[in-house]
Amino acid sequence: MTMTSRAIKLQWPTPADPRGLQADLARLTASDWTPHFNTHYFTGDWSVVALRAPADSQRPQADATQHDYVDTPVLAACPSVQALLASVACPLRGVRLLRLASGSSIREHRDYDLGWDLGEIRIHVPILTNPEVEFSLEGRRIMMGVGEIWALDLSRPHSVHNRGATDRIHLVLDCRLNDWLAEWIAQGEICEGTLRVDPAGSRIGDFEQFHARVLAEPILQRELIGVIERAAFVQRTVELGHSLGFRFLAGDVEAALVAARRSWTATG
Amino acid sequence: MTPDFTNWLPVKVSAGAEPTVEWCHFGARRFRESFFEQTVAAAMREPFSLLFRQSTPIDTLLEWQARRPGLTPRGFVFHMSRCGSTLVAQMLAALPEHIVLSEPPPLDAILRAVEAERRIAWLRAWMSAVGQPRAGERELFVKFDAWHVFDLPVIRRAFPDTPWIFLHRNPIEVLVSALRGPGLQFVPGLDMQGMSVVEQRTRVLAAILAAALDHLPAGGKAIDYSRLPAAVCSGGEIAEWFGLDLDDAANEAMRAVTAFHAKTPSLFFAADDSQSKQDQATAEARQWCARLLDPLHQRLLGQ
Repeated sequence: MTMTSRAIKLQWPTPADPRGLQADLARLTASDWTPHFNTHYFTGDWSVVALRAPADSQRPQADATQHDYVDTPVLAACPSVQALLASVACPLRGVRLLRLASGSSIREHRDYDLGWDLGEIRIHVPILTNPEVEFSLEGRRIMMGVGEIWALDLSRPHSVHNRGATDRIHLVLDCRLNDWLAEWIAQGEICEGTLRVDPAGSRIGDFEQFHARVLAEPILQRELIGVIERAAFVQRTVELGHSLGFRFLAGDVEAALVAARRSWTATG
Repeated sequence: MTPDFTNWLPVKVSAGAEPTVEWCHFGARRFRESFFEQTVAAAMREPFSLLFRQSTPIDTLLEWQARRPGLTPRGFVFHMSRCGSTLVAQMLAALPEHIVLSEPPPLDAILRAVEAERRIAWLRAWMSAVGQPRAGERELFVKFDAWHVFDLPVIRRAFPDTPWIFLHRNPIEVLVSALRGPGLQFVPGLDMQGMSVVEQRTRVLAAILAAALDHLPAGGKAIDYSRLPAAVCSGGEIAEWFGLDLDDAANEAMRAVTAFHAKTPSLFFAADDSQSKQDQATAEARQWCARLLDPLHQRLLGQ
């Protein structure tokens, strides 16, 4: 049964129009974007434009599912998004644009309010992306191309690192499962993703290699020892890694620090 | 080749069939907190130390010892708990040339290690690694956990030339204090089921005193709480026993520590809280103490 899959590429009746969606983006202004409310999970810039939002919400970007959803004024400036939404024949909840800027990361987390068991389906439509965006779902990398339509089970652990030089912007639709959507999902193309191995020689695992090299070379350790303040340490670590040809982001270092604290405490 | 562990310390030892050691960067940080664990926790608040730890098989300790032998311990402090041992450790730690390890969990892990025949080599090698002068230190001291008095034979075999003391105090005062805090956990061969808390604590203390009395004739020195803090300073029994050469500045630095209660720095050291502790003793505590502890304590005072 397809519903046990993590990621399914859909062929909707009306394909997304990537150029039109990009033109919609170009009409937005900087002030339309607001930082994502969930600041625990990301490093860098993760921002939101709400296109449909709870009518009574003070947090237009919130993931809540318990409200009446209405179009926001910004949607009026996005005709290609409107066209796409018009072709969707299932109940729509929130619709947002999500931007993960170049060099930013979303740490691994689960969205417990989603989940295919719950009938809450999140659809991603990449509008801008680059080959060095690393989206991982349950440890597997899923490559999503511009204009593709993806149903993702984000109640499972997932993370995003944008290691590229350009922003990643997705249109994100929260849908309520009905027969129409179930049928498209059943006909979709199941994507298993690639285990964290990268034939193109991307930078997965760069931080781990850097970590091992620092442990082996006291001369590198001296670059980091004595940087006590955490943010400064993270920045210095990224700089040292880059100077040695490793490519990882502040989010990788932050995640490693969190994991290090957890393992230190766990071993009593 | 053995890695270079200069300025790295083996802060954790995991027991088990194949013990491992976790090394953490310590730089020139001194063990100034009341307990080893607190200093390690402070080191772990530095992001480098937290992020870049190394885990090795325990035998790496032996290789590092061969490559870079550390200080030979100058003195060991054993004790019955709640009798001034932390004060003694803090006084010794007041001098920058001293490394003082207070109840280090890795020592306990090694003493509890499954593989008994290698404990001595591991004890020596761990001590050598933490006894590396990192800021010109010249002497190494260890205050053990109270229950390590039961491990004295193996510790003595590992360090036959290190002088050791056993600190004790009027048992009713120790018992009152012990009843206020968490109990000692470990007494070999003592089944405490069905006993009152007072009896449990009393029997644990009695076992510790009896073990100390057993081992003292083989070369230890018993010191009573009433001799503190003078015993640590020039001319005192502990200073003499450990062979400390203390000048005026050193004596002054150690005495400055006594202005604070050793385990609760915010409280002034109550030079004599003995009366208040005795006043708090219940009839049950007095009975158990008179029956099991006082006779042993009298023998210690007579050593």
